[in-house]
Amino acid sequence: MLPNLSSFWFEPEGFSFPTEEQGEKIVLLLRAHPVTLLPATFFVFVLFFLGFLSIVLFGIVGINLSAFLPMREIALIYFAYYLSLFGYAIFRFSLWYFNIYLVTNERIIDFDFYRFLYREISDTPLSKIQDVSSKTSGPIQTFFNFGYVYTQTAAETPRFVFENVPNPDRVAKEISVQARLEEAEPRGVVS
Amino acid sequence: MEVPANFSDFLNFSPAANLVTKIILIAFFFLYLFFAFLLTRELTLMSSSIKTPLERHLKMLSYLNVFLAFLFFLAAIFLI
Repeated sequence: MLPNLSSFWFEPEGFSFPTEEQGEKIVLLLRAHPVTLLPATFFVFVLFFLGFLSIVLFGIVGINLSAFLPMREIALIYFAYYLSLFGYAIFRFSLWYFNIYLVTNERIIDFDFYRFLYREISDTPLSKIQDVSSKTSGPIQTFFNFGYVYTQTAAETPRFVFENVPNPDRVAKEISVQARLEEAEPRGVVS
Repeated sequence: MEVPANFSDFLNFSPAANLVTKIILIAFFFLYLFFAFLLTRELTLMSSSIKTPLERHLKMLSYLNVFLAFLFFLAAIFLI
């Protein structure tokens, strides 16, 4: 069965986090829109085929690699090249996959893994949310319907930004709905 | 020591050039192994922050990455 790589997922299955409270439920899981992965995917594909093409290209230009280096060393250089590409592909995909925004029935959580060895996890209770707004700008964001969701809070982190998430209007609406539901609850109740 | 006539001859016949290739490939191995271990560690940390259905597969891929790095090292040792 193929895993669900959706970047907009209502009540996702198989997800949990260590600070999850009893009765807390993930309402919405968000990631950056898959379109944001396209440049990196294109880059990896181009480099992948360039590796094969380079043998032909060297031949066309008239460079005989085997005249410079023994075949086994050329093979090792190609091995190193494809190994690096493989590592880069895993790294890029992992960054996208784990960069998650969660809306639960209690709070919003932002898992940030921007680059290598950089991790920031912040959350804010729904009761502290003051204002939610969304922004879509430019032709690509408009065409693929993704953008930014800004959440103004009265908590320690004053502003939460969900970057490049799909359906920003719907996300903003869902956060507002959850915040209103939370407001209606008596204090300290987790449901 | 005989001076090579051109660059191609130098690369082809000089023991120094072979040594340079060896050093570059071994240095690449150590650098890459460092990166591969960091990636594995990073994935472990990521998946400790949030449990996801795909984390096991990604970890397997990162272990495969480390394994391939060692395979590269073995190939470098036996082939050069």
